[in-house]
Amino acid sequence: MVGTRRGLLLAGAGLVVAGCGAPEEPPPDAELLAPSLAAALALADAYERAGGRIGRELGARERGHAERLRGAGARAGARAPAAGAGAPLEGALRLEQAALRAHVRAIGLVRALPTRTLLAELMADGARHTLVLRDKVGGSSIPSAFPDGRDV
Amino acid sequence: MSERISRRAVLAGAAALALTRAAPAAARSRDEGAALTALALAEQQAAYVYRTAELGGHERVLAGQDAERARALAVLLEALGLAIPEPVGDRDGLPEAALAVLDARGAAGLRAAIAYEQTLIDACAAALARLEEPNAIRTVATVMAGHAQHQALLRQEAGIDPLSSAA
Repeated sequence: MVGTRRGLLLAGAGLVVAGCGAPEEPPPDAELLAPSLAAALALADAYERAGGRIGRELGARERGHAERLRGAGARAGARAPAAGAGAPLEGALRLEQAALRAHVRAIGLVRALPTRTLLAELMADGARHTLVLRDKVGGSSIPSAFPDGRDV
Repeated sequence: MSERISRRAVLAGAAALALTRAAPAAARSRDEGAALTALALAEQQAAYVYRTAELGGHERVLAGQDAERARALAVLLEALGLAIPEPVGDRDGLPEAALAVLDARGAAGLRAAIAYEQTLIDACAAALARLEEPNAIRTVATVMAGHAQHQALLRQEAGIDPLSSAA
């Protein structure tokens, strides 16, 4: 009953909003995914430069992420995040955080459910990568309650 | 006269439109609320499990983070006007995967916790398809990523490659 009343109120609000002009539509999914693709490609390059077992393994995983994003229609050519100065794996950690931020922004707005699932899986993988990297660069391997790219 | 009929027709049409829109919107909202309620309870349960389990590692850290996630999901439930699940204080109602963590010791406990984290990841993944509100989607996806991180940590502690899919 409450749900029905709430639904009616929402529908009424929807009619009012329609009369006043619709809220701004988010960009197409291809556009929303573009920063995620740019971040995945930047990460793949950073890991390949870092080399070693972890560089090879994580580089291959990021190439896989980029491939899946292309498969979901991500537009190429978005501005890549910067790794910044410092050791290669420290730069990779900053890029992982930038990638997480890109995925978090996109996941709330993409329309296609399979694309939402893809972004959630990339976020989960990115969170695993950041844990491993923090361990390697001499920080701690303590996880974060909300690994969204803004956590420390 | 024709103007009055026309106005009534417009009003009736608007009401019908509101009703036809209201039913799916209410159903979606109920489904979103049910999905978030189940996840909030799952986080409460996970907090209890890691508060109680003896894994010899970071389990109390995991307990604190799961409690934080339960609070974040509670905020979303409050916004929908829904009840927040009570904190979990005993084993009653815990899923099998959670009980396995409590009942195992040592390496077996870590393996059980890795498997338990997978059930939490899967629950978040399933819930994502039922959500509509962008911030709810973002919150649940971040909670899912957090469980992937917990699972990687537990793999490290068990001497398993944290990036592998082995339990």
